[in-house]
Amino acid sequence: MAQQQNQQGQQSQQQGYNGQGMQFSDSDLMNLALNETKNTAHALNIYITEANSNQLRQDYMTVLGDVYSEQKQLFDMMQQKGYYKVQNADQQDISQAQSKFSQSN
Amino acid sequence: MITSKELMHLEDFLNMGQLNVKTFQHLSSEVQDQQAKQLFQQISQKQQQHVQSISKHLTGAQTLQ
Repeated sequence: MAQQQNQQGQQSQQQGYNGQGMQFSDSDLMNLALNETKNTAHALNIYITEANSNQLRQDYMTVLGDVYSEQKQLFDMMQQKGYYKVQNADQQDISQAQSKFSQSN
Repeated sequence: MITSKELMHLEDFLNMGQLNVKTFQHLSSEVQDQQAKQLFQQISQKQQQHVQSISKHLTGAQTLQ
């Protein structure tokens, strides 16, 4: 799955920086969709924190809740299909962070 | 009554929302994967509802003033 994704990435790079003959792969289209939900969530956060009317604020919050679940559905689907890779944190970095914060207790 | 900032944001949101409805419809027609096609379609419909629910604040503000 990972190899397949790399091949796709290389292919779309070879096809040119001039934008000609470029094809959006399914992975590209899902990434576009995911970015759309992230941008919408970002904008809504601003509208909520700057709203004067309680009702408007509440309605934006309802919309944001829906946008969050759409974003999660997209993310889960992409991860399931191997289009979105996450990397685990380094064990050594975790223990370093842990010791830093345990000192203050 | 709504503030000038709220009005600005309402316009921005509605513009973005309408474009999102079209974007997800378009993505749904382009993508080959059936599961993604269906999810994009669902999201497009949901965003149409969002536009409607938020646009009520514009009509509401107009009748009050």
